[in-house]
Amino acid sequence: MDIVKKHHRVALSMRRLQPIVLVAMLSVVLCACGYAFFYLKHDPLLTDLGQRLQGMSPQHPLGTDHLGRDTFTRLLLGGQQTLGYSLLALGTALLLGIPFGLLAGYRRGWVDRIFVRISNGFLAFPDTIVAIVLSGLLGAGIGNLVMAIVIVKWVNYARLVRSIVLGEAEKDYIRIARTNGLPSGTIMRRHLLPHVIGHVLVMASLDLGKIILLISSFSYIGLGTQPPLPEWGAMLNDARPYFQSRPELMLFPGIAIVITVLLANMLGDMLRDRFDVKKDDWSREVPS
Amino acid sequence: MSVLQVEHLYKTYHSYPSHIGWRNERKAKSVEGARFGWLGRWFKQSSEQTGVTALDDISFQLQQGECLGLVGESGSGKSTLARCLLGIESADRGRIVLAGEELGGQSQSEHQLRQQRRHIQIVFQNPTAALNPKLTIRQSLLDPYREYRHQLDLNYFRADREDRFARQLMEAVELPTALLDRYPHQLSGGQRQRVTIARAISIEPKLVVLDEPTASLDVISQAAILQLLAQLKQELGLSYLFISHDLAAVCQLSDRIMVMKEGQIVDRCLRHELFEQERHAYTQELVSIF
Repeated sequence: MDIVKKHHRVALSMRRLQPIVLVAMLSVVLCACGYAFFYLKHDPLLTDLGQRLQGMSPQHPLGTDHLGRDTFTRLLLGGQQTLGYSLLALGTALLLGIPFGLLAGYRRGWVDRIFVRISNGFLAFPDTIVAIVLSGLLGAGIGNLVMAIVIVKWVNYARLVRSIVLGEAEKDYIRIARTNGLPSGTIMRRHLLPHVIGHVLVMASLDLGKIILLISSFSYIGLGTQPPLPEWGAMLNDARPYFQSRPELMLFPGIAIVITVLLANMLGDMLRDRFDVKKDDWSREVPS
Repeated sequence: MSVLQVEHLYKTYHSYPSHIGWRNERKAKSVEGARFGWLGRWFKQSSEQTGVTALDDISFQLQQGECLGLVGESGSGKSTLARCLLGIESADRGRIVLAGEELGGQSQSEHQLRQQRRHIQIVFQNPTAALNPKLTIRQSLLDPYREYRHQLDLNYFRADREDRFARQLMEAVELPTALLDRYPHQLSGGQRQRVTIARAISIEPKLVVLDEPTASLDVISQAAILQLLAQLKQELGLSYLFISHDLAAVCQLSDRIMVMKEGQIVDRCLRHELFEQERHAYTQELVSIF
């Protein structure tokens, strides 16, 4: 019995510690990338062919790339680009998807019918293909890539929100709110949004990882960030020809991508626990 | 003074699928003609014939401070009547006059409709479904109040501060105020039903529709809830429309009793007359089973 109790207590303290560690790590990544411009001594865009493909040294902690630019500086600026645009794309998709899903699920009628047609259309194609076609049509560039990602992703959120709302809207408490004369907007905001937000945030944080990968892989094939701006995927691509001599040039952006995606996924798990009212309650108690 | 007056209410459910809701109900009617088009005038004809009559010429009055019991077996149209009163569904024909104003009149604006809805509140059978599981008890309780805050004229409760108001409500239904910040799943069934009752009386409506409020509770909680309802009726001067198939509960609380069968009111009587010999045959049958 004691062992079970002790084990539970250890597990519990791990559960409590995990979010703190996670948030700390994530904010380190964000701060490092966010403040890159202010404290770095090297210009990430300045080429210096005399210094190309240098190894690690006190001047260049992670060495230099094939044009003599400081890798560390570029890694941080690249993170700024990758994370910034991922969050921008994700945020826009959420702002579009949640209200649309709420409307379609709650009001039904023509809004819903139009929405279902559109989303079925999008479902017929894989995300990546649509994004490639769109950025091919709109032209290469990070702005168009973000737009393509938003167009592909918002439907998923709207579908998720719609399906949850469809289930909830028939319940008695919504009926009571309606007979109480609450306007539809208030019902959606006050009664339906709390049901939706947890699921949406979990999906969003899992998607954040996917979007980071998507932006990186599009930059890798040259459809995303354009040179000379650094981006983790583009850096991987730049380093490809020198993989034999300087493998770390590919390793560093790769590790950065892996860590960030992992952190985003862990954030998703944490948010799921946080928004589950019932589970939250359970984890606070130690069985006696 | 009569709080509620229902005159010649008719309602038929057609065989086409329609979602419950006053918006869709109206739409379904207009769709009926259009959907079949030139192809099947016959079908339209037949669909009208296969409708189920849920309410058939219902008329009654409900006085201020009175509790009117409505009994009948499942499917007799009791809950349909409640839904029509609440405006969740609309009747085909007939008039509902609530607190002196006709409900759902043609000239009514959205604003007037909302004004009127504050006079009527409902307590459903299942308190678990009637409370939003993601909101705390406090939030659920204050929901109607926040909507009508500026139009309220409260006699019994004082609503100057939200916190004090919520506490008063909890005290009125004899719940500890410590439960205010809990979630519904942390409360027992009886406690949850008390919360829904507190919410229903919070804006001091003229009429509370009780749609089988004790059906999902155990015997002891049932008795306690009935006692509480009787007490609140006394203190706040509420009127109840008490819908139930539990004759014992209805007898305990109601002043008058109506018996419904297949959409019609087949019998009406005062409480103490229910067991007399000259009652309608169906009433006698119900009483004998009970």
